[in-house]
Order: sequence, then structure tokens, then C-alpha cells
Amino acid sequence: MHTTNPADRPGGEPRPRPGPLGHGLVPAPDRPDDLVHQLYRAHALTLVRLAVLLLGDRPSAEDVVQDAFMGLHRTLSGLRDRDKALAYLRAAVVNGSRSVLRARSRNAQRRISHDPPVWSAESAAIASEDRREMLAAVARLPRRSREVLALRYYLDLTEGEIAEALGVSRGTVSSTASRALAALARELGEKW
Amino acid sequence: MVSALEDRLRDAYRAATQTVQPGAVPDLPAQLGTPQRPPRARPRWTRVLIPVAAAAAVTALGVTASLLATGHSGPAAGGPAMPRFYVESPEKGPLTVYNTATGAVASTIRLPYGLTFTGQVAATGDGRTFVAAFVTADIGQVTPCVTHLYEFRLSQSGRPAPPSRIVATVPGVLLGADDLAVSADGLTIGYASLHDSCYPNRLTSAEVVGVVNVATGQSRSWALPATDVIGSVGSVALSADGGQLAFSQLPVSAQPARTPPVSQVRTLATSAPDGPADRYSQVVARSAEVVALSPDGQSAYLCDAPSSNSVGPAGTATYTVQSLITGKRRFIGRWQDQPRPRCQATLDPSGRYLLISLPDQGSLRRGHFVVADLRTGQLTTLWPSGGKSGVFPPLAVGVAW
Repeated sequence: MHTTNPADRPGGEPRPRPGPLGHGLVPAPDRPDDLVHQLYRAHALTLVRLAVLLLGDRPSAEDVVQDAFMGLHRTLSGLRDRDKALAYLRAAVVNGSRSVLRARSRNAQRRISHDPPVWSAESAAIASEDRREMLAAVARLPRRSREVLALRYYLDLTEGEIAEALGVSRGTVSSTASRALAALARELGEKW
Repeated sequence: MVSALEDRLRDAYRAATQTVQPGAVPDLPAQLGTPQRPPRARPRWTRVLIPVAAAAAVTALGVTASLLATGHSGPAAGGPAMPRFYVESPEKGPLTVYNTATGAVASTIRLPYGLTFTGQVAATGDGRTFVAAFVTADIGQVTPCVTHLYEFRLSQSGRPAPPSRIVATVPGVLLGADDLAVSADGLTIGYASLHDSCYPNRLTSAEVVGVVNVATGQSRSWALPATDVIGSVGSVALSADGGQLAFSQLPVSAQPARTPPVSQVRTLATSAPDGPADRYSQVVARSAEVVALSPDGQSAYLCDAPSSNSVGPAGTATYTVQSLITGKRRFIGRWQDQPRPRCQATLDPSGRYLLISLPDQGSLRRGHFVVADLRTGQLTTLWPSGGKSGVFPPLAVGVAW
């Protein structure tokens, strides 16, 4: 199951880019099932990783992404522009993550716990204290700030693409990112 | 211009996202079902009745969920929950996934004909991905040359995705149920094996402990001193990052005639070069076996069961945790008058819950589980009334959660 990961190459992780539909390199199949499976193979890993950044744990992230793809399958016939499928999935993952966070907030009142985030000491999934500190600081930011940072610094989306995924204006994206970085710099004692 | 802060943020994101490895994401169902039709306008009366019915249904679900939640043996207050499932790997037969809360069988995992699980299973850091050892039954060989590994992932309901065969293998054969360990990211496998076991005329007690990286195939191994005792090493444990390996070993001076045999616990850094285990490891505990390392590798969970490894009389099994920094030990639990005391326990990925296997009173083959909450000290017997009673056979049955 474990194969050499291109993301492990020196120099860092390659940019997650649109696949079959985004650039039209692979013709889109006609059957909705085939299209959804093709999109899943191309983008599931990146979207699960995005959801891990928003939620902190892999099981929830996988559930959110599966729900997003199932939702895409249900609405595909109503999607006017199939090139927008990836944008739809990004937005669905962000919205699904928000739902999970709301449910966690309710569960916390009933003392129902969930998996610890990957950046927690309990999880021990990330060895570097420096990285854990950064991710914990991000986790303390407001929800929209976390979303903007993840879409910008993990997916490398443009302000327009982020605005589309979050359903806000470009100006809001820009100001939110700026405030979020300033808050991180303050908390971590770094210059920005 | 990209600031240092942005670089640091990207680096942290990269570390967090790489906790999800390619190939680890479960597949979508093959059949996605019929796409739903666009919603039609509902008659006016349903616009009133449906919200009322939905509210009633939500209330009923909430009550049901609350009842279920109170039946689950979760943490007393906050913190990580107990794993939802644990996996048993008998020496023969399928792996079985059990629901921790109820003891019910959630699923079973069978190998194709000709392949046999060998009784070892270990959990990765997500608590849902497991690695199990198996061998092929090659004709003309008394024991296999290599041990193969499967990785499988459980869904929320405890059903496994199709197992994936890991390309890397472990040299030799694993003897004990605790001879396999895996790091939190699933990339490092720790093992204790009988190395030169390919051919009948080479069946010796050449035992090794080692690690293998399943992504690169790179491996390191450390040889135990030759003895006449087969199975003198066992119960390996790994830290979450795979950087530290602990194992139990019978000292060379311990001959089979000496009863009860007394093992000692050694640790070594997995970055050490190949060579004799004695040279690169250090003794951290005597008269004990290691059952787990804490995720940070700074504590060892130990068990002392004097009649362990032998068909001895009733005895006592004592579990402790020892700091590998200060050497201090803390008591976890003691069970007296065990019909066949032996050490078997597995730590959950959060490092909070130790699942301890104990034999039933008056039985050599039946057993049960006790969960030690390492934060509160609370000991809880799973399914105290009417639930499944775990099998406690004399040979290897690996347990992981």
C-alpha cells in the first residue's frame, strides 16, 4: 500500500493541481459514476489532506471527502458546467468540515470526544515540535482564517478560487489572509 | 515576497498532510447508486407535517444516541476515546474485528488459499489501519523463509477495506504474538524473528530484532546471542516515530532448565547500524517483559508474570509503567491466582488505554480483557456480563487496537 510518494521528494510537495477536468487533459467520461470515480482517483488524496488541515484528524477528513463525492454524484446531472466539478468538491469539503466542527462543538457539551488532531502531542503523528506549534497556532485562529490559509498555502489557490470555494468576495479573502498571518506572527513571535 | 512565516506555515502544512499517505484513502463504493432526481415542490400540507415529523425523529435519535453513549465505556472526562474496535489475529484462521463497546464481531478478514496469518497484528497511529503478518505455505520448507505483511483499514463501522500486501517483507518467521510492532505512520515495522529458518538443516536459534521501512524497503537488524533456546526474544515495541525499539530477551545464562525463566527488557535506537543487539542496546528493566512503548518513546509498559513462557502453576501478573528517563516505575495493576499467567497487552494510539488480556479463573483457554485508563488509573473489565469472552489460548493470538 505504501508507495514512494512524490510529495516526499526533496524540495517539498508538488502543487496539487486540477486533474482530469481542470485542464481538460483527459476527456470526461459520460457516465456520472465513471466521472466521479475518475475525479476521486485524481483528487481524493489532496482533498482528504485539505480536510485534515481543517479538522485535524484523518477519519473525519475521509468521511467529509466521501460525502463530498457522493454529493457530487447526486448533483452531477444538475451541474451545468462539469469543469466546475473540482470547485464544487472543494466547496463541499469546506462546508462538510464546517458541519463536523459544529457537531464537535455540540458533542463537547455532551463529553463525547473525537480523535485528537494530528498536531497534538497525544496524536504524536508529527514529530517536530516547531511544526506542531505552528499548526496549533493556526488551529486557534477563527474558522474562516483557517480555511483561507489552508486553501492558499496548501492548495495554492488564487484569491478568486478561494473566494469561490468559500462563497465570499476576493477582498474578504485578501483581508482575512492578511489578518490571519498577522495573528500568527504575533502569537509565534515572528516577523511578517 | 514570501516571508519566513509563510515558509514555516507551508512546511507545517506539508507535515500535517503527509500523515495521509497515498493509497491510504479508502475507495469509493463501486456502485454509487442512482443519482437523485431534482426535488419537486411538495404539497402545502407536507410543508407543515414534515418538519414536525423530522423534529420528532431527531428527538428520538438524540435519546437513542444518549443511551448508546452511556453504554460505551469511554473516558471518564474528556481526552481521547477508547478505540472503537480491536483486532485479534489467531495463529490460524481469519483475523477478527471486535466492537470494543459491545464485544460483537464487526467483521472478519480471510486470506486467499495458501496464505496463513501467523498471529501478529499491530495498529498504526490512526487506530484504524492495521498491519498483520502472514506466510505462504511453500512446499518442501519446514518453516517459511520470510514473513509477509498485509495492511488493512477499517471503516467507521469496522468493516475492512480490501487488504493491501506490503511489498517489504520481514526475514525469517515470527514466533510470538507480540513479535510485531508498527510506527504511528505505518512506515516502520519492528519485529523479532527466527532468522535462519528457511531450511530444516539451518533451523537454529539465530534470532534477530529489526526494523524495515515499508516505503523504501530499507531494513536494519540486530542479532541476539546464540542460545539453545528458540524463542528467547520477543514482545517488541516501537515508539510512535519508529525511532526506538524495545524488546524482551532471555539472557544467555537463562537455560531451559531454569524455571521460571526471567527476561529482561532492552531498548535500542533504530538508527543504530546492523550488528549484535547487545552492543547497541541497553538493559532498561530486569525481570520483566515489555508490552508497549509510549508514543513519545519515553516510557515502557512492562509486565512481570513469573510463570510466563512456561506451563506453570497459578501465579501473578503485574503491569507497571517505567520512565526510561528517570527509571521510576508506576503500578498499573496486579492480578493474582492466574491459572496461566502470561504477559499480553496492547496500547492504543493515544497512549491512554492499555488493553490487557487475562485468563478466566479456572480456565486455561478462555480469557477476558481489562482496560487500564493510564490517566485516571481506572481498570475496567470489558463486557462484564454476557458479552464475548476472549479466547486465551496458549499460543499466539495477537491483539491490537
